Amino acid sequence: MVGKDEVEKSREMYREFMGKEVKAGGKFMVTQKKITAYCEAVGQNEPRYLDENYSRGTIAPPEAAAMYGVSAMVGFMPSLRGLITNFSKLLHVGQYFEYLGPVRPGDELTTKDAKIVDVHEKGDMLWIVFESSLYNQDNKKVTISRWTYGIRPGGYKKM
Amino acid sequence: MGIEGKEIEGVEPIFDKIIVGDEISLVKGPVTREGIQAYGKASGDRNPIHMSEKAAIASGLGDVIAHGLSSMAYVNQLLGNWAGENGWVRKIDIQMRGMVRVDDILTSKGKITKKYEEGGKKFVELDVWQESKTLVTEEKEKKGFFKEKDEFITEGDAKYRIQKTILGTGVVILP
Repeated sequence: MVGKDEVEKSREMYREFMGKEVKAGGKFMVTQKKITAYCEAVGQNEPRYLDENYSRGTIAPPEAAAMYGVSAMVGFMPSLRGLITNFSKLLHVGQYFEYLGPVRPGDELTTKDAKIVDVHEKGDMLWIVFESSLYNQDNKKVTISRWTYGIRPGGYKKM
Repeated sequence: MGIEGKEIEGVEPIFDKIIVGDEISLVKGPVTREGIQAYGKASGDRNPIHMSEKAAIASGLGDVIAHGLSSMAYVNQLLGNWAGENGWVRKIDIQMRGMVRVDDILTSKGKITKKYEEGGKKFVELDVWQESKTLVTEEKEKKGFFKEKDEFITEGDAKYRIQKTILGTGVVILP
C-alpha cells in the first residue's frame, strides 16, 4: 500500500503540471437531434427530453453532459504530451458532473476554465484529474466536469 | 439501436416519506455491439476499442468494450428519472471499476444516505453503484474475460460473473 505521505510526495514531483491551464474544446451547439440521438443510445424515453411539444420545452438529460464534454476531453490530451508516453495505457477511471442549470436545444456551450487539477502516483498508476466548466450563450455556467484518468505502468514518464 | 431497459424500482421519490437506507434500481441490457456503436456515434467518442472488434483485439482487450460514460449514463438516468420532471440531479461523482462488454446486463443502484433542506430546496444524497452480470461461456473464457478472483453465481444451468462496474455518490433535489 502506498501511504498518504507518498502520494503527497509524488504530487510534489509533478507540481509543474498542477493547475496548468489547457486549451480544451470548441463550441458545442445543442440541437434536439443530438439530444434525441443520445437519448436513443442510452435508452432514455422521458418526454421532457424528447417530445418537441413538451409544455415547458425540452431540456437535455443529465447524462448528456458526457456528450457535450467529449470535445473538452479530447482537447485535454495534447497538454499531456511529454508526460504520457503511450496513450493506449490511459484508462478513464472516474467522472464528476455538477449541474448548475438546464441545457436546451439551441444553446451554444463553450468550455472554459479547463485545467489540470491533480497529478500523482498511487499504486503502480499515474492519476491525472482535469476540470472544466461549460457556459451557455448567456455566459451562465451550466456544468462543472472533472475527468480522472489512470495511466498504467509503461505509459508515462516517471518524474 | 440503443439499449433495452426496465422501469425504475424502489422507493417513491417523495421527500417526506423516504428514509435513509431506502434503495432504487434500474436494469439495462443486454449490451449489444450495435448499441455500443450507437453510443459512440451519439456521444462523439469513437475510440476504436469501442467501435471495432479488430482494433479492440489488437489492443489486447479480446473484444470491444462499452464506453465507461455509457455505464455512468445509466446511473445518472436512474437518479434523474427517479427525481422526475420537477426534480434535478445536482451532482454525480463516480469511479469506473470494471469493463462492460457485449451481453452484459447492468443494474444501477442508489441507496439514500442523507436527506436535508437547505435554502428552500430538498436535497437527497445517495451512494450509487452498478453491477454487471455476465454470462460465462467457453468463448469468453478463452478470450480471458474472467479472473479466478471474480465472483460467480449459478442460475439453473447458467453461470454468471457478477462485477461492480461503477461506484460513487449522487445528490438530487426533489420537488
